[in-house]
Amino acid sequence: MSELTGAFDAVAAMRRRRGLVLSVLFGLLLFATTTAVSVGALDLALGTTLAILLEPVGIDLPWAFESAQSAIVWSIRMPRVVLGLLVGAVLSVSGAIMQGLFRNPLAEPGLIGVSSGAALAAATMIVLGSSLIEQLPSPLDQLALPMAAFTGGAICTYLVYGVSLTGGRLSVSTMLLAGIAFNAIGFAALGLLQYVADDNELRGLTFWMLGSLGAATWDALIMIAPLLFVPIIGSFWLARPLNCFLLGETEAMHLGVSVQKVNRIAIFVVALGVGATVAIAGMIAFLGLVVPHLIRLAVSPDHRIVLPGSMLLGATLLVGADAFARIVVMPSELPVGVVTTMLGAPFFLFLLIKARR
Amino acid sequence: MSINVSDLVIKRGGRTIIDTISFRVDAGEFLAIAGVNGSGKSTVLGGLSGELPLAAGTIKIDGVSLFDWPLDALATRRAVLLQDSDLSFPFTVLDVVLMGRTANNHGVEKPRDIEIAASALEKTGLAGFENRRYTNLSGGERQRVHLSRVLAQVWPDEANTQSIDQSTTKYLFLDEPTASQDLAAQHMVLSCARAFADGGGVVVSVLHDLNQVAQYADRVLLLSGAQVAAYGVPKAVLTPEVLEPVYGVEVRVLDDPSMPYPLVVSCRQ
Repeated sequence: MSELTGAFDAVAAMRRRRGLVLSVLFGLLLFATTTAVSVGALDLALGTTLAILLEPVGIDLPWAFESAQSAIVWSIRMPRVVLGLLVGAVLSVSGAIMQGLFRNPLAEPGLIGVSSGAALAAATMIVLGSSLIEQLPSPLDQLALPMAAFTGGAICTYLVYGVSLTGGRLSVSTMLLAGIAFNAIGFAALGLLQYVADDNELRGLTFWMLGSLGAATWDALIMIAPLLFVPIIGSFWLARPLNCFLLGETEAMHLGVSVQKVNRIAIFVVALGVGATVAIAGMIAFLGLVVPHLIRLAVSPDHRIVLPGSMLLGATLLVGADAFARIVVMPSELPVGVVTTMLGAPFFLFLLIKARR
Repeated sequence: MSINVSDLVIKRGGRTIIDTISFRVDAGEFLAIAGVNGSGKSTVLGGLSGELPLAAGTIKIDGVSLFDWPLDALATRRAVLLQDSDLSFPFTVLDVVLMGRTANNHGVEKPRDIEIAASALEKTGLAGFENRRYTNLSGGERQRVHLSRVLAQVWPDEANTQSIDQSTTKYLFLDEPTASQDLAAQHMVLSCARAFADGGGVVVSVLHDLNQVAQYADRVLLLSGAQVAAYGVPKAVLTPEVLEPVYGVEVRVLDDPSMPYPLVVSCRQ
């Protein structure tokens, strides 16, 4: 019976570890959120921030604050931090879903063409359609760009998907290659638009290509949040089939997984979620690629930990990176995609080297 | 219950790989599929597993057409071990075996699943490997992890361990399960399959080694040129008269009185 106790111990230990890691990540997320709300042109003490955040739920903390501070927190910083949490969670969980679906650790959320399609549509509007936007009545003029971006992402994903269908079945290996091809076309077209753009348009383009959470307002959040919740909720259903996918599509089928259905649902939720993130925050690079790896290295490749863990860690990292981007060159700010890549890539390299030893 | 295959035709890229073959396997039986390279052994298994579309013919499992079975219901009854399952993510051995229980437990492991996984690992000689990383194992060990996984998938239901219950016959399809195993492990693998059949299950396995066929199978389906060259009990099929035209080499079949099965030896040209 010693094998049995060994197996039970192993499963119990893994469950404890999963619980511990998720709790630590949740703690980090709360800490990053509070810190990010506290820092900026006007620095607040952590206690003051907590008092402001907890006041609406009826918890009185002993730190006094002024109504101006409360206004900064609630109308300027919180929407931005909440957007960062959601976008970070969506990009990271989408990266994890794509890596599982393609059984390829190099897959990232943009692989199915959604980010380049969205960025290209937005860039086209900026460079070629700016006169059109000016004629639109409010609030359509504000919505035109995000809507164009979301539509562009959806169309590009649909094209990649269509190319990869053979006889009604989706071939993920074809999709991987088709995604690369469509992304190349998208980036070439983006380059062309940059070439013909004037200075003002170029600044607008930079926003889409490097990413920024600066467009966050409660109104924008209310519109975009339902889309962002699609992959977050969908990931709970996808964890089990994605584990089987890692063995191969044929094995997954033999284990009772409906491969075509999982393919479609995974691509649908990722396209919706990532399309929405690009529409509101542009292309934020590297997060979706690196965060799932961090969870895998720290715990296990099991999607029941990789998916929720990526969500929590991705949310934390993006909020942290955005806080850094806001304060490092005040009163200006860095594009947050630059920060995620500059900090994420070297750290990822460090982990790779450490794991190989 | 049984698998009934009648007039099966499978085509790939316009070429007929399997041309009108029929056979039947009943509960408690071990059917070996043998034959020359390219004769369609793995294709028959792929057809039985539902991986390949049929150009003609029918496959029925427990009287129901293979394609009418709901995937998840079928997955609790039938497991398939492919020739090479590639897994490049560093799961623990226990994790991989527990994946076999997916259709039975819907992703939430119960104590019984862990018990089954540990017992399956013990059967394939991998007791104590639970916490090892799959990616650090040798090819033969990996293949046995997958064998444990498919055994766990179709492990007998609790109420069903004593007798052959007609309603819940389990099926095990194996594609060259001994390919990357050493001598002792080859017998361990085939003993697992034999025990599965003896417990009331059905085993269909592609085997190259005719001596393994002689020692473990109840029946053998010998394929040649997309058709059935011979079909019957090993003693009837494993004769020089049947084997020489199929393989094109001289074959001796020796009877050693100390052994209950014939020895098949091929001779240098």
